[in-house]
Amino acid sequence: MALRLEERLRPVRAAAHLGFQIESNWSDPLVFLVYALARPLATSLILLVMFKVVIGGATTDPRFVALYVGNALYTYVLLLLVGLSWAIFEDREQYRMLKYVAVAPMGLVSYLLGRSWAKFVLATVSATVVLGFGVGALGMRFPFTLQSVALGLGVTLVGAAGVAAVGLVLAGCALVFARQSMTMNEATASVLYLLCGVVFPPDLMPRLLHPVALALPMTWWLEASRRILGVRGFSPLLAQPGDAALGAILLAVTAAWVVGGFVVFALLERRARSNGLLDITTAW
Amino acid sequence: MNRDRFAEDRLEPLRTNLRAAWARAYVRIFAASREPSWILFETIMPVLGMFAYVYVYRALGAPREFETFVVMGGVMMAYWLAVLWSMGTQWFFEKQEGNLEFYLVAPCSRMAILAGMALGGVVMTSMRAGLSLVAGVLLFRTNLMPGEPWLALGVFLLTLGSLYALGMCLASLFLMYGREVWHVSNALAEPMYLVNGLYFPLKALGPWGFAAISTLPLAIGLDAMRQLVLGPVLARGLLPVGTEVALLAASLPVNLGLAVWLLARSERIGKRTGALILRHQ
Repeated sequence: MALRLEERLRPVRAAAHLGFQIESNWSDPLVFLVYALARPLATSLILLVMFKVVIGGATTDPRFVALYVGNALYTYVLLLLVGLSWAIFEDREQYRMLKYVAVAPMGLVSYLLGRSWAKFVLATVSATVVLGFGVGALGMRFPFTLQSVALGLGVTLVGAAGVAAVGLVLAGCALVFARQSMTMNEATASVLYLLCGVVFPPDLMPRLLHPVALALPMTWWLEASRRILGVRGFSPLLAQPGDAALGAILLAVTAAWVVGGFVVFALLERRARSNGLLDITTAW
Repeated sequence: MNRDRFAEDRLEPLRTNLRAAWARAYVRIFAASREPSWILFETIMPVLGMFAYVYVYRALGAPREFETFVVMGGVMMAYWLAVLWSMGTQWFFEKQEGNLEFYLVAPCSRMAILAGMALGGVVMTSMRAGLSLVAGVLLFRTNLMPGEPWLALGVFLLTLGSLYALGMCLASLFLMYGREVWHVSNALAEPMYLVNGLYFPLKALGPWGFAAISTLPLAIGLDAMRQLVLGPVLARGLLPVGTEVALLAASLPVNLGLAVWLLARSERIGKRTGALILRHQ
């Protein structure tokens, strides 16, 4: 049993190693870190200036902390979700290796999940640095107990699973799309920034969009993370369920997306194979 | 007869360069109509991301003029992203696609190709920018009518000219890069939104605002256009419009001259190191 698990994990580990190499082998770690952190830190500072210019209050104001936390954690969506789809595009169009991966016994999903591990680590570093910047430079205070750390880790893992599940759907679309998949990734990240209650309560959006926001695992994950970090009442819509109910909703929505993500990816992979799209090159 | 032929010979390089520029622009202008799905991914969906900042201001209870800041910033953001990805990194893409060597051996100036890219880029990006504008006006009821429309148009065109000249500089500079280009371009997106004050008045940056305005055409142009649309008080302008127009007018030839110099230098270094048309580096 242990050996089988070891065998199953071997390709994922190899893909993860490859992911780290592709991500970082063009530069030394310090330069790489500067590039990786520039984007989330800049977005946080934009929000800080926007808050200061309008409210002008302390950065410990719960309204600011709520949007700061949402923005810090959104890095997972930017890197993990977009990274999954990007791996398909990059391997098919630029490195032209996707067809070899597809015929290997490991399967595309294991490979993609392994590749996304590098993005997950990078997102974790990025979110930690941005939250650390909030504590160190902006004077924010988050509860730091054994329980909050354990809950935070658990919720982050569930949240990452949800993000990866949505990413699998996107990766499946990338399999059947031509070079548009390149712009589709960034565009999807923009739409999710709007829909998931990242920097403003989803209550403010038209009511028609509320069900869409509530059906996304990221919305519940961000709300759960905010509560663990001591920020409550960010959105009346999301504040309705209690903590236990919120956990149950997060798990249920994530589970639904994980199942749906695998199914949709399998369907789109089959379609890509039958239409001969696995080695199509439309960009380079 | 000889004089006519002499004039003809003198005009021929100009005609060649104009034809090359138009050929490069043509691809960009007509590509979008041949692949309509791009309109969804490159115009409609990114515009939705801009809305998030309008809602942030609404959540904070900001005055209405801040929504105008966001919409105008969103319009100019489209051009900045085009400069970054469709100008700056374009030589890198061309290298990967195998087109760069054709440009290098073609009997036209590389600047003509860059000018064509810029012209086509402006037309292509204007579709997205126009959509941001329309969405901002219709959905958020922002007032974007400037008091002096012709002056505002002039400032806008001057900003675009200077911005795309900066894009030519980036294209020349990025010619020397390999995969790092991706990361540089990514790193120049959000940090540039910050230093250019895309979603807030530049004045809020304090002394950094002056640093931005002294170097970046986007910051100068946006600040001037906001003052023309909202008035200097509501726009919280950093410098008088006249000063900003003079700065923009000065930055255009400076950026163009820098682009020519950088292009020649990058090409020379690339040839010497053998990396000019080396793919996947």
